[in-house]
Amino acid sequence: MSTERLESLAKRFGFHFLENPRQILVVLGIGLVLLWILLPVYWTLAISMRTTEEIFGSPDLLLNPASLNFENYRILWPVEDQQVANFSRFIVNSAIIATLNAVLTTVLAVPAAYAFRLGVGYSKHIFFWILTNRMAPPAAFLLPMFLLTSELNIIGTHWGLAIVYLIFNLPLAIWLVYGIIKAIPEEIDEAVYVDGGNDFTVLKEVIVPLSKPGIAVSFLLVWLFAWNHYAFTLMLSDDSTMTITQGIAQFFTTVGTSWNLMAAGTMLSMLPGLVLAAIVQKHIVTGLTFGAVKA
Amino acid sequence: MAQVRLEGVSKSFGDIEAVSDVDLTVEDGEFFVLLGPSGCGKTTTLRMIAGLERPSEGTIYFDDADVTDDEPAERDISMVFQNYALYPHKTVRENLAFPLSLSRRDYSSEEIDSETERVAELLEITDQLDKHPKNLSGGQQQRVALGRAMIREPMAFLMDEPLSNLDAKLRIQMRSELKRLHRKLGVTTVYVTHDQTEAMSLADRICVLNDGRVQQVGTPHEVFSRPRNTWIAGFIGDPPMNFLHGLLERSDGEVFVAGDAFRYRVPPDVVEELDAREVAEDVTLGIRPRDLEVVEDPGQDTFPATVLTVEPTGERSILTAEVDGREIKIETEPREFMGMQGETISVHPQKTYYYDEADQLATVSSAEGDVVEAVEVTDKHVEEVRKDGDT
Ligand SMILES: Nc1ncnc2c1ncn2[C@@H]1O[C@H](COP(=O)(O)OP(=O)(O)OP(=O)(O)O)[C@@H](O)[C@H]1O
Ligand SMILES: [Mg+2]
Repeated sequence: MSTERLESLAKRFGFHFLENPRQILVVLGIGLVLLWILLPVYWTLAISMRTTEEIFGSPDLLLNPASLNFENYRILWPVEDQQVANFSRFIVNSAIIATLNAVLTTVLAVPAAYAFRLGVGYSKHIFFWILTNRMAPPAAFLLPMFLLTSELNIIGTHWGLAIVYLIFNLPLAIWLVYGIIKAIPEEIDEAVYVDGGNDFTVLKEVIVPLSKPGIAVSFLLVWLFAWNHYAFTLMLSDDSTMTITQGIAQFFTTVGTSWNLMAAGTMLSMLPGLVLAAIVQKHIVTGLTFGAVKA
Repeated sequence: MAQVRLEGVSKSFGDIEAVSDVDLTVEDGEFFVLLGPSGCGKTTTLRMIAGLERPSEGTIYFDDADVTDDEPAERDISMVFQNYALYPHKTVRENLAFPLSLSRRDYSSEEIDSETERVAELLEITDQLDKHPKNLSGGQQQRVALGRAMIREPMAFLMDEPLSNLDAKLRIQMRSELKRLHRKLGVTTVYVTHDQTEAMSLADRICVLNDGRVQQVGTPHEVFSRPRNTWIAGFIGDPPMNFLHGLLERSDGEVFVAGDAFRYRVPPDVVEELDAREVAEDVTLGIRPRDLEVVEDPGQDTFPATVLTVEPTGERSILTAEVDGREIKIETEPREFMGMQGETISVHPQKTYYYDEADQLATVSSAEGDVVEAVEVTDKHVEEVRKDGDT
């Protein structure tokens, strides 16, 4: 191959930017960060494809494509209805709880954030008080929530957990969404009033459409928090509503830990979040094209 | 369409009194301009009429209905905001249609479409209907903002410096457009601006505001030719009116205004007025730069002035000179004034304004030179507009 041909090939694949030494440094930097983030993921993936013997032997760094082993995943995804490692059920449970919670949170947080922007009542103080909910560790709410949900007879249900997660997700979402909508100039609200609308018209016609990207990001974050939450599920879910975080933790027992199954479960638990992030990302991009309010 | 009336309206923000005890009546169908310097309370007044701000005191009436506590939506007004406040996520078409979709009257979608088309045609933005506001030029956005206000026939149009973001050429074009629209629709309009040329050329009547207070209400001609106090006189007109302080001296039936370094003989018609009004000794003499004439010989009706600077501006030259320790401006033909710095010249005022001790206009000399051209044009224009409206 001639040098020209090599160069043109390199260009075609976007390597030409490496000509500049500064850019090489940037690429190196990004590479390091990626390594930092992706290595643990890779390592989990690697473990999930190995047997216990392999793990406790001295495994190669690289997976051997010839001996990829999906046995661990097969165990987690049983055909018959078995209790211990029914990951399909755990995933469904977690997804229901996380989605219910994210929808509830968003439906409550957007009007709440708008009310704070309107500055109704003692909103300054209430706004701060809401944040204090996050100052205690979620576990501090464990006992009260146990009592509350059992009183209300929603303990052990999807709704129970979805509602309990509001404790830490609602403040987060309100703060996030408030940050977005307070950037919308109030003149636009006023234009709605003058055009004959009221506060609800403003919410529907201005606030929601203009803060869609922010709402989407908040939805994603809240969903992930709910998906990944562990402490409450221990006490507030039962066998039928067991979540994926509990499913993974099961392999960590007093008699020993099944690292390879745990790794496989972890890999499975990452997938739905990735899919959701991909969907939401599309929204974020379309949202951004709306652009500025003023000329 | 309605008459808009403010009675004793005040508005305070904490310690700041933005609007103080304003009484105004905007007649039905009138083009009424609120004019004043930055921070004088124009926007606040307009926002109170719109219902976006509640007066701290006073009452606002639309015709005979007290609307002081009504929400904006109940008042049936439309407003053009200073920086448009278009809905950024809606297309031009949706922006224009929005007020109709919120209207208490149920518009069918065909009606909304045809109204949108009509307004777009009127404002020549038919090509832009499917764009989003951010893809429009400033002038186009302006017209969308106007269109959104005009698509209904409200009780009143409220406009807050709607032309301030446009370049000079477009501004003048839109000005006549607005005038034409008002003539056509005849809707009561309250228009805020700090630009006196804009006010002069658009208004049926002008309300001059300063520091939250009404200074004067009148036709452009009245405000220009009989400014009620020295503040208004100094605010209306460019360059601003010159002021000289002096004492009235009477001798042999003649009256002079005398400062430390000048003694000016007051025209006879003014003397009568001053006597009739029993004006005390202290007076402030106001002279517009365009009414000052440089003359060859000093006399009883001239001032000695020391030339400080000369600014040729093409059509005219602006001389800055010192009279009695005060700077005055003189607008003259561009003659050879260059190199005259430091020389003393004689200037003759063709028209003089007299303010008494209480800073109230006592009288104006009937000019030798005539009423200022610009105002005549405006007045004629207004007359034309009136006639047009009648037919
Ligand atoms: N929301 C507010 N809070 C506090 N002060 C205010 C508020 N709105 C207006 N003011 C004050 O009231 C006074 C009048 O303001 P306003 O906006 O009515 O002036 P304006 O005549 O419209 O000026 P401009 O020509 O600069 O727009 C100003 O001193 C302003 O600082
Ligand atoms: Mg203003």
